Amino acid sequence: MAAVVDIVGLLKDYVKVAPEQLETLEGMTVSALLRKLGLPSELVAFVIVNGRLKPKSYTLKSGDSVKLVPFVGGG
Amino acid sequence: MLYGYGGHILRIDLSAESIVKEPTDPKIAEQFLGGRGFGIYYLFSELPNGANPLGPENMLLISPGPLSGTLVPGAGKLDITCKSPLTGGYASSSVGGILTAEIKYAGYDSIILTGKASKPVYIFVDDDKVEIRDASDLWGLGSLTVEEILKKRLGEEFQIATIGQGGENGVKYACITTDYGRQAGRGGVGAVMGSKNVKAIAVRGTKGIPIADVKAFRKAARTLYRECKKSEGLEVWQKYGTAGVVTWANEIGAFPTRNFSSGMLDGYESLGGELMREKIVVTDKGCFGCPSPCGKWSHSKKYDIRLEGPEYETSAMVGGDCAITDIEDVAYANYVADELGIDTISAGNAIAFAMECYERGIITDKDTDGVQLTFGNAEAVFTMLHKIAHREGIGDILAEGVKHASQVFGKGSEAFAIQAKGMEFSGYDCHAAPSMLLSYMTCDVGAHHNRSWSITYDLQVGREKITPDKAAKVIELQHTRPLFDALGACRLQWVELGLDLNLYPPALAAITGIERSWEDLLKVSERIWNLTRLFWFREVPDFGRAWDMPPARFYEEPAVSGPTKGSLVARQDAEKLLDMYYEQRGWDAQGRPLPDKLEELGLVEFAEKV
Repeated sequence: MAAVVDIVGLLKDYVKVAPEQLETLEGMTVSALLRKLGLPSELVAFVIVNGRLKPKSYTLKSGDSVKLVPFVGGG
Repeated sequence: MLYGYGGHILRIDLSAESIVKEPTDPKIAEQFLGGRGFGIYYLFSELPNGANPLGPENMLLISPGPLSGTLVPGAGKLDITCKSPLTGGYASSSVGGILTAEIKYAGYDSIILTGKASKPVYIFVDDDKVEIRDASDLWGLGSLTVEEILKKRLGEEFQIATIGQGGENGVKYACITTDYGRQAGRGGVGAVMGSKNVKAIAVRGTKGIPIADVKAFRKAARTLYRECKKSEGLEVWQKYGTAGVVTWANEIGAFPTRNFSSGMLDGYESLGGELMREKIVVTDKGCFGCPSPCGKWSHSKKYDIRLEGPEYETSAMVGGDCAITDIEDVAYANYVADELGIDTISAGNAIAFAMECYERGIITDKDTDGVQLTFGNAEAVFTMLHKIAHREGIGDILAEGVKHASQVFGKGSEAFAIQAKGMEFSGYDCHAAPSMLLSYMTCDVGAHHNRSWSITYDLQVGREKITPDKAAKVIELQHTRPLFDALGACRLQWVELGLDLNLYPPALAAITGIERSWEDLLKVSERIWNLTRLFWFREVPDFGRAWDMPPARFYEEPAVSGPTKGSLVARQDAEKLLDMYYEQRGWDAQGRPLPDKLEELGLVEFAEKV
């Protein structure tokens, strides 16, 4: 099963390539995924994979559900 | 009828043993709202010029705001204001828990302590019944212990604020604790309470809060709650709380490490939200009326202790800054500091400073009583916390704060005493974040992040940029964030969950019966900000631009490792940002509010007293 990526809030404004347009996500680190999506890594506050907080060095697996959450409210 | 308020100011003169209640002045409520607004209004108006912060003349003002204790989400914040023994200027520290609601229900908008009791006492407030009671048996005990004793003695429904040994011994960054682990941590408010021989304050309130339009208020409050629950950030913030920030802060090089020499700690992963949750968190803990409880009740098996936390700030300052990588060691240090009643931010910063001095040979085993004060030595951190709280040996010097300690140790250590206005920096390294550095430089209590957390703005517009919009963002945040401390509510529903700020004015209008836009409220916040600035000029004889400058480490020594390795903010860039900031604020080159600004904010009569 392909990994699913959910992009939250203001990060949507930065996305250059929609996750659905990427052929395979499996085996890719979250950092690499962010580069492919065109998302500035520094603005992604939380990477949640299957409900758990992960570092951006995490390697995506088949069936992973990924949520990318920014900081909001200007700090 | 003054809607939305407790209705009275409670004045307790401990020297005279007098207790006086006066009606809350509607005009002051309109001009300064409450909370930190009331704090600075009364402090500025009544504190004798040049008062000794630890003398009987200092005032300790404990103030809820008009939203406190209501149905507005996060209406559990309390402000504590005084003249700071740490900085000599303005101190205001915000604390959560439930105490603010009880004070409001008892009918008070501020409890103002002055004078000094002849022996240890605690303040007992049960609605209209107010007493100064003997606390001789509680003196010498820890903060958490005293709270437990008083809860058993008086009843669980009493909310208690306490000081520990740190406050008794005048540690300049002693805190006031409530709800077993929530602290008014910064600026030494606990030392001021201790200087008055007040060990604790116990409050129970059973009255309601008069609401101008109950129907409209219910509707506004329901909308606020509904929006909180719809937030996409709710799940992650509730699950991890502020500890969730650790990973990101390291990834961007903002995690203070080894006394702010870099922004990433090797081994930071074990302090991150996920591992903390797995290893020590038992359950979530919220303050009064919170829809997104970010506090964490934890248990360390290694030390068999229960605590609330660690919050991000403690992991940053005791963990990163002292290079401690085991979350259980950080949790234990957190517990020890909480019981002793000292601020983990300033204490972590002070110990990290001493560690650097030790490793550089500026201080030796002779100075530390044989403690090997090296980075990463958790046992040394625990020992130093006790030494600071009891003012033993080198702890007596560190208890005065890093500015003072660097003056005692000398040998160039001033350059890496990480403070502004005499207050230790909190948990964000600024080597590659100029607007965040400006936030620390210009914060009205000293180097604290809570007034303006603009680091994400640096990331959004470009870290290296030195542009007027960065100064403008800092000013915008300095009016928005502390406005919550005047209203008596938590800002995190906005900061973390992204709640629309325009949802607050309808709730406040329904509570108070006074229609005000968010812009109107920001103007009040600007009035408060400028009054705190005038207070600094009044109380600190040589106050001015030099007091807003950061330590040389940020402009002379690039970050030594991590993602920001090699970065710094050049001194001329820091000066340039400060110029932009003063100009946009309507202040002169020394940072003094100009006549036009004072006129605009209705502060001319206050300025005449400076």
